[in-house]
Amino acid sequence: MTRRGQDRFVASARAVMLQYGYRVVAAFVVAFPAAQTIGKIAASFPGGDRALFEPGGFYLLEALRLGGAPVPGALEGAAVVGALLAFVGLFPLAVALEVLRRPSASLADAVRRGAARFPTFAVVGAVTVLAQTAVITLASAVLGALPFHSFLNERNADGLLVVLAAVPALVVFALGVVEDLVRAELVSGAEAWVPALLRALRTLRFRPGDVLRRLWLPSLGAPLLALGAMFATTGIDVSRPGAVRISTVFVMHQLVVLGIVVLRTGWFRGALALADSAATDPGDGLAVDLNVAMSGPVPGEIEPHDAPSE
Amino acid sequence: MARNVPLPPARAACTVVAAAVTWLGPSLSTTHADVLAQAESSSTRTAALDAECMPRAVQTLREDEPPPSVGAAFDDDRALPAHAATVVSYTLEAKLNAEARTIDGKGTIRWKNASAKPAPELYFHLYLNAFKNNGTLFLRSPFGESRSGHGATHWGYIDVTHAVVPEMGGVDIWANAAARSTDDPDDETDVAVRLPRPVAPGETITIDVAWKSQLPEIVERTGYLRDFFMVGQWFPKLARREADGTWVHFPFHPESEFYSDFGAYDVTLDVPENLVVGATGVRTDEHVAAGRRRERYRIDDVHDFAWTAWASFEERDETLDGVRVRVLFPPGNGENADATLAAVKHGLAFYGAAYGRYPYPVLTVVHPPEYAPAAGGMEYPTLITTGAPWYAASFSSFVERITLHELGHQWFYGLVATDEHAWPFLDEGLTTYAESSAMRAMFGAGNGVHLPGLDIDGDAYLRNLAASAGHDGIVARPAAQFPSFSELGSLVYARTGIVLDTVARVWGQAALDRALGRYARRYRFDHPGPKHFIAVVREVVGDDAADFVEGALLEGKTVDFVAKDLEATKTRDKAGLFDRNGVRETVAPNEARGGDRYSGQVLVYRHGNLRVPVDVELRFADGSTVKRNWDGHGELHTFVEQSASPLVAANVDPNLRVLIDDDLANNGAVKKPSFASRVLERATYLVELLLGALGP
Repeated sequence: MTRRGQDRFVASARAVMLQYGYRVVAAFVVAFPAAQTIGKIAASFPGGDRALFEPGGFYLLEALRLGGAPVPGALEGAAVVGALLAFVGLFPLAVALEVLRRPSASLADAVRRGAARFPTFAVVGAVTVLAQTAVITLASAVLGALPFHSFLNERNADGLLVVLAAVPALVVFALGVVEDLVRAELVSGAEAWVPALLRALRTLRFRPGDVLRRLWLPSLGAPLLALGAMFATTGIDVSRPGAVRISTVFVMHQLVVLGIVVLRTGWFRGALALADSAATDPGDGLAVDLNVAMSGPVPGEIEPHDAPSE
Repeated sequence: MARNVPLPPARAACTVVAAAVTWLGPSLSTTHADVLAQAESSSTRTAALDAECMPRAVQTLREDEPPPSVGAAFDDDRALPAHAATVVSYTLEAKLNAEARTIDGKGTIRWKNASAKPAPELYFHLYLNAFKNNGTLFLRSPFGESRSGHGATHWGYIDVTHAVVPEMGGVDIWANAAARSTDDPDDETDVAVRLPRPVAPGETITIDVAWKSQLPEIVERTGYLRDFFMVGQWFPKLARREADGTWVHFPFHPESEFYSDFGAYDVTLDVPENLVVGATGVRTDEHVAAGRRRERYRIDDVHDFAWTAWASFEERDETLDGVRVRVLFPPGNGENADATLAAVKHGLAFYGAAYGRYPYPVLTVVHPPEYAPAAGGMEYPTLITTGAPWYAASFSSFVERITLHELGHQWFYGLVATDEHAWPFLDEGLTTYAESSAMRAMFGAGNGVHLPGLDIDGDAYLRNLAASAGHDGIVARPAAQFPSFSELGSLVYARTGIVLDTVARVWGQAALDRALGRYARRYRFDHPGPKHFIAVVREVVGDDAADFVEGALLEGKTVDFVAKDLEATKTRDKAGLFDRNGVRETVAPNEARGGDRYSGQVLVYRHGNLRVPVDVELRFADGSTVKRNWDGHGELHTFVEQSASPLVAANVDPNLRVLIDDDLANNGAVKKPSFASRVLERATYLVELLLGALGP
């Protein structure tokens, strides 16, 4: 492996571990108080919280019933903390993108650059959330007002609504894709989020095939991984005594999360490559097709003018 | 305690004869479908049904009489009454004006005074008047809108135009009808009609009646919505007169259902040609002419008649267990119809084996359109309504559950015709238990929710409902006395079901099922009360179980086991000063010698006044366990155990037998609470996925 290849590998691993590590810690911080609340209720069940997983669900529903007051409070708290940590998560994301963008740079430099990007990432995130909310609100109002049920039977009317609802769902998804492309443009050198947005839209408009080629695997892979884990762990009865089962489930779940982060990191590598190819293209960005595969050339090969010298 | 009351001679004789004489048509082992099929094919149905040597139910039970002993003869179908004693029969014609949503009705009611006293008056229930204005008992109740989510938007009513009794000189007795309900001047659903002369005990009178019904937009169960019609409680219906001459009549309350006498129904429905009709009974005649459809439905041994009509109904027809099952459902609900048929097939076999075979040749299941859910989830003789979104059967067992519940009512309401107004737990509660049993037999532990890694039993949900209403009142009380429908639901449906499930788990499933089977068979075509039910439980399951059921349902008793103060200490050898043979000896403490034995102790309290035996599992540090039983006597039992390993945990009711326990979270006492690692693992993973999906 060449030095550059080694740098890229290390950079990818760092980016993955940054995001995965943050996600594990954030999830633990969010989950712990709620889990502790339910755990306290379950402490007196036969076998402790094992009982919550027994077939039949008697103890599970009992815990939820008895937790009628504390559990919703704990969940509300978890939601607030989760939202805050999701926002803070923009920082490790920015650092990860910097690491991917400049594989040979030091981690400290990536952290410094990531911190500098954080405010702009926050603005882009807020704009995206607002746009997605607007789309969902508008779609709900329009779809709710359509009078399908007056001339179609229940099934056909609902089916048509689902088909139509796929349009705003795709728009919401596309807004998320645009957000990622904007982040990549920002890391690749765009000075502000508006020009980055324009460049991202130009990429989306003129190179949709390249975007889709890099997007499909992480988009489909993540839910498939989660579904696969759901079915794979079904056969492991954690209501039975012993630490082996729950440990196995824990490892499987964490592998799924790690896999999802790896897929998403691959997407970001592709987004950065698209941003850099557009930046180095003297024309409209169409003349050059880098044909970058998921594991292909990465933006580290194109050192921008502000990259630190090694 | 139970008094042995012999069967009436006629029935005792016929029980023997009918088992041998099969050439008459129906034997007691053939299904009722066969009976009616033979009867219809030979046009001798009435004669066949009236065959002298068929056991008939007698209606002699009174609440103030000691419940009779039933006996093992009713543990199977051999002694099953084949027919009800006919008290009131209706021959009616109804013409539907689909545009005006009105019904012009006329016909004949034949009523026999089966009581021991002359009847100087009749009581009619005119249920449609519940929707006449917002001052009626039904609509002025804050719960009158519970099913539809709104009150009446188009009023409904029933106007009786005449009621002539030929046996009384052809006088129109309706001229003497009260204008208002007996005890409610703002209500017109419960009307007394004074007769020119009393009807003598045993005498039968004929009432030629005509009326006009305006159907309401469906508020609850009955009426129209758009072009869909669900027509229940639509004709002038006689109240039931008990053997002691007491009329059981009541204005229509939104939380109450009904109570009527058995009889024969012969109803001709005249509707627009394009409507598909479903109704109680067997369709014996069908004519289409001049844009109208006339269908005639006949059935014996029932106590109500309902029907539906809708142009868009699709239909599935199948003969299951000798019963012609007809499912009417909206377009696009094919999977729901399949699930319904599967549930009916399972239910007919399951309930038939448990509570006596289904005696009718037909069953119609109506799945209302999605826009009329208030018509769903209701039982009538040989006709039930279900209801669910078109996709329900693809993702859940809800369709099967509601079907099995309503089908269960064919036994606990239809055949065992308890007073639903006075004792709703006897129909809804017993049906809920039956439904749970049938669902568990059909779907196993995941009969409530079945997802990868998550199985929820329907009883777990019922237990929650029952426990949350544990101290809020007595189960066995009239429907109108419940402060809300949710309270009625928690107590009447859930708590009764869970009390019975507790009996099954503590005293044995087989014993309880035998008791319910004996009760259902003995009181088929009859009108038992709570005491009769308790008496059969006592007879079959035993005094402890019967006292438990009586306490839990009739007396509002509750139970909550609590384990606390778990201690484990090393057993020490004797130490100190001992006088032996006049000599005082000093024995020094030596813990080391006694260090390999432990004494463990835990206190188990029984809070509440409902006594039930319970197991207690004691767990030791080396992982070993012992199980001890407490008969539940007293308020506290101290469990002391000598062991080689220290006691670390005690679990009351480790196998979850006492489902009615108010609080399961205080059933355990542990030396050192374990960390909730499983919950934390799942919660962390869930948040990780959410952060990935919703986060940056």
